[in-house]
Amino acid sequence: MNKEELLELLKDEDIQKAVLAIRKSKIKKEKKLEYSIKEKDNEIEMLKGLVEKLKKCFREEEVKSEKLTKDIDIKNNKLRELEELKNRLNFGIKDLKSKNNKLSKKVDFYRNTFEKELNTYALYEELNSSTKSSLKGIFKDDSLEGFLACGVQEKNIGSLWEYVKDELREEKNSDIKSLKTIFYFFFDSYKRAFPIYKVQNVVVGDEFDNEEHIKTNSGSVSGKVDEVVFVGWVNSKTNKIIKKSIVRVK
Amino acid sequence: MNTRMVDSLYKEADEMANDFFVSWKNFLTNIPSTDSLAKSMIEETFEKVEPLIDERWVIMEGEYLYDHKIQACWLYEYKEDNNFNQYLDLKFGKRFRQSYVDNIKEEMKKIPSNMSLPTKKELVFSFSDLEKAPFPIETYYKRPKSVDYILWEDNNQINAYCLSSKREYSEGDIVPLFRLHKKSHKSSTNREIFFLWILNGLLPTRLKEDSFYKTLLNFEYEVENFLELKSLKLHKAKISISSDKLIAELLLEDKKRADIQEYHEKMLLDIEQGHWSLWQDESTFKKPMAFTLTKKLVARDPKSSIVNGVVGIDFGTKSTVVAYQKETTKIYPMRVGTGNLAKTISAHHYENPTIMEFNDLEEFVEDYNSREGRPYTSWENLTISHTAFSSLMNSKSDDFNAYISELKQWAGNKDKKLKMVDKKGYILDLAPFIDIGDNDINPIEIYAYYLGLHINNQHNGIYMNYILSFPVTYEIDIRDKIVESFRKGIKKSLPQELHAQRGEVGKLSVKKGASEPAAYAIVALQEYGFEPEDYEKIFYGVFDFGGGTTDFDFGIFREANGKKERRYDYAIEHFRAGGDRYLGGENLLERLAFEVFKNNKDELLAEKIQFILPPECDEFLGSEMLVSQSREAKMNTKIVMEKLRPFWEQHEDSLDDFDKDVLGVNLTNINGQNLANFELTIDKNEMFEVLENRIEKGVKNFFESLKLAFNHKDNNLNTIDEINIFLAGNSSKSPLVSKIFEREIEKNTKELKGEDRENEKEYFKIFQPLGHEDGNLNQPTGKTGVAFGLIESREGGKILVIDHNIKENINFKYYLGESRRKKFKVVLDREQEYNEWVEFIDATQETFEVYYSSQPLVSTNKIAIDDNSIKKRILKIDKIDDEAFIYLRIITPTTFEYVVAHEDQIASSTYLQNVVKVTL
Repeated sequence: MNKEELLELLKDEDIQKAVLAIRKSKIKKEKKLEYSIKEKDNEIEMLKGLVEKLKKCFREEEVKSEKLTKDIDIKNNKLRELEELKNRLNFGIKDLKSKNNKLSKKVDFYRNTFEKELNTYALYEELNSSTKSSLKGIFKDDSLEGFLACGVQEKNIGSLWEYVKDELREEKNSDIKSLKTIFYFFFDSYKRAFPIYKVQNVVVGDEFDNEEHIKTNSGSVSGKVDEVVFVGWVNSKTNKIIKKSIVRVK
Repeated sequence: MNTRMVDSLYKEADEMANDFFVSWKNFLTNIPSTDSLAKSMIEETFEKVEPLIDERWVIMEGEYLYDHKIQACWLYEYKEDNNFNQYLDLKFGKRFRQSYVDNIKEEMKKIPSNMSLPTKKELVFSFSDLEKAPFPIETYYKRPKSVDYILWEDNNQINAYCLSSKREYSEGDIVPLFRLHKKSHKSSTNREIFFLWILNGLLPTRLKEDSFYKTLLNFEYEVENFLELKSLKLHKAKISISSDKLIAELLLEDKKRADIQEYHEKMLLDIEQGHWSLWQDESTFKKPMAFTLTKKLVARDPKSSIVNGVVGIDFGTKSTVVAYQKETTKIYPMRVGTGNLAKTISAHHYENPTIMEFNDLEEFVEDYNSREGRPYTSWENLTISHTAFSSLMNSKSDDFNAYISELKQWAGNKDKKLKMVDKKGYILDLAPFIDIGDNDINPIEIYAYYLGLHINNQHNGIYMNYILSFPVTYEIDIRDKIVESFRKGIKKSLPQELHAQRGEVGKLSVKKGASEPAAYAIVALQEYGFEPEDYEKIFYGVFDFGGGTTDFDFGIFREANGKKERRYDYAIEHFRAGGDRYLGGENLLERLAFEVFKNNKDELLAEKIQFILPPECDEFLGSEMLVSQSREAKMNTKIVMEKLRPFWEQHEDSLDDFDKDVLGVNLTNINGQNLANFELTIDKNEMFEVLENRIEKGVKNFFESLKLAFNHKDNNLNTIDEINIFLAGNSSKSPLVSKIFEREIEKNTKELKGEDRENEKEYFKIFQPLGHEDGNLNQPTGKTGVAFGLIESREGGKILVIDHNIKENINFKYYLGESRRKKFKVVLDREQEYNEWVEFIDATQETFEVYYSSQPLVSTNKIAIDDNSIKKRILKIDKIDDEAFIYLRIITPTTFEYVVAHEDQIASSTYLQNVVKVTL
């Protein structure tokens, strides 16, 4: 068909109508499209807005993300630092644990080794004032260190023994048990330094002998040893009696 | 016959009665007491009785049934049941109505008067709920089968009681009861019950064969206040004692007496040995009481133990040495008071400290006086020597006065009193030794008794000859009294069984021997090989530097010659003696301690520590607060002396201690507080100086005495070629002594023989104290030599001792003089005859002063008047007369008299005033 025919045809009402209807429909469609486009545009606009928003958000997020990334970096750095710190700390802890172990061992050692020292010093501190004042010539320094330093002196061991002996003889000192313990403690140290000296071997049932023993005021003047009240010591090499043991005779 | 088997032992009935009396008292009060036959008999019997008591029912001989529940006895009799079995019936007589009082009382007359009706309480207590009893029991009602209805009495009211129904009843049986104590008395202890059984003659059937029980029943007891034993008498009866018990007792007899090692059991079983205490003669007992032994034991006649020997005793200030000689010429030292004789001997065992320890003097004296020979004294009550010394060194301050260590000083000084407080608080206040009466407690006699116990025992045998030495300064009457005291003490140590043999103990001889330094000279001269021949004279001097004093003796040693000396080999003539009263090792230590104290006075004052002022030491500024005679002061001095002893005796292992300038000692302040390790500052050089100065003074005194001695009428120092000086005494061992002697010898030799004697032999020869370098402890030493010398110089020995020093009495002990230009000028010397007036000074003033000293050095007239050995007396006369003089004369070794008289009238004893006596 050619154009005229087509134009002719277009004159036809029906065709016109049909064309119109088509047009109308087309228009309608167009309008609808338009509308739809519009709607789409709107939608696009909205979407654009949304996109913008999103973009904005995105940007913001990006910023945030950047920030976070930065933060993460920081954190990561920190984390690394912390890791390092942790490692270091772990190492430290390990070290400390090992040190602690060592120290615990040391504490145990000291506790085990110096328990007697501490207990003996406690005994010394509990002595009544008169006894303590009597002993000031021996324990010139009242501290633990002073107590230990003075007590182990050879001269003082002898003086302390003599003092305990005198007090046993007078039978008036209520501290006598503690005094004996204090003496035995120091004598023990003394023996370590001078292994040549040893405690005199006296047992219940031995015949009392003036040359080997000192008898207490109570009890018989001769007979057998009934109780070893305070031991003396001897030079194990020469068998010379340095201090005679104090015994009760029955 | 020296030994015999014996099957019985006699004891004095009164002694035994007393022993039982005391043992019962101690048993009842449960007081521990020393072992004795009586004690063991009572204790052993009680061991058998106690289980019976604990069983409750005890059948006694004589139809008594003891019920421990009510501590009373029912009367019983044995009856037979139908099966002819014996049973124990408690019923007595017929049954009565309780109201028939007269009938009951009539029936009661048939039972022993000490029995009565029980109380209801006793009845119920004893007879209810019976489970086990020695009589038949009614099993349902648990009561005695033979009695049910029983009469009881309360406040003289008789009632009856039915055990089965536990109700009062109208009639009952008589069941008599004997109470061990009154109704009101509370129950008694088992010990009391035992005693009550004995007291009431109750013998448990199970012990009817027990000889100890029956012995105890056999005594007559008197009691008051129920259980208080008032007296006890023994009846003659055959009592047997366990030989095993007796053996144990006899072997320990001397152990208890004087800590002498116990004897071996074999002694009582071996016919070759035997024990003195069993050698008895019934006729020597006043009231003999025989004890039969369960097995025969061996007795030894103590006479057969007498050793043909002699004992020399050197009674020293610090220690006493005993030496003995048996049949041979060998002389041995003896240990006293060392207890165990089996232990290794050491040299110091022979030096027995002269010290006594009093624990219970009253009990000792009671025991001591209880028999003539070897009384049963207890070492627990009184000890001497090593035991006492060790005890003193460790005694508490409260007991410090329970020791006497100044026996010899007390004996030698006519003015010295003695005070002692024993450990029980008994105070012994003694007059000077010379004034002690025969019945007074005499410590020297007691000391000698103990020496005697140690010398005479069944280890050593018995010695009857003793020789004692004396310091040269002791007056004759003091020597005689010491000899008598020793004789009494030693006599007491001889066995009672020897006392019982007529005339035996009378043979005991205790004699005065040579003086201490002379006795030493005898030994030293021989030990050093002096053997003078023909008319050779050995001139000697002894410097006996002991613990308390230093004695000098000078004389000659020569061969015995002439008819009168035919029995001897040698003669020793000692013609001068003297001494230095305060020069002794112990005095030096005391002086040294004083100097140390003095140098620390401020510190001591601050701590209130005191010490004593020794003789010859001067007080110092502030000393009144520091010097005291308190026991603390004595103790402090003693402790420091012991600390300084190694310095004085030069103990090699302790000398370094004195280089430290500080000496730590435990001292006691006036409050009795013991201050440990009190540090005293010391100066070694100064201490040496103190010792050296004092010893030098003593050595100078010695040389002055020597000069006076050898410038005698028969001798002249210039004609003597050699003088031998023997150092003696423990203190002479000090190197200082030799050093000073060397110095003085040089000085005196120059003085006497001129400067140029280089090529000539020594004029003074010095000999160190004898010792036992070769390890032979039996050799005499500088200390034990005196005792050895005493034996050498015994009567019958080979050495004649001639003492020119003793005429009627020893020489006057002092030099009397005046102060001239601050020097002592002698007016009367020690050679002065007694009772001769010597002009002293004009009588123009009321007061005059007499200076005196015992030191020979003052005879040089060069000694400063303020020397601490010089003392003075301010005296007054009644009559001042420009024309008259004051005259002095010596009366005894320690007293002089003065008077005022005109020169021309003194010879005719015309005096212007009464004679005044002065004791120095």
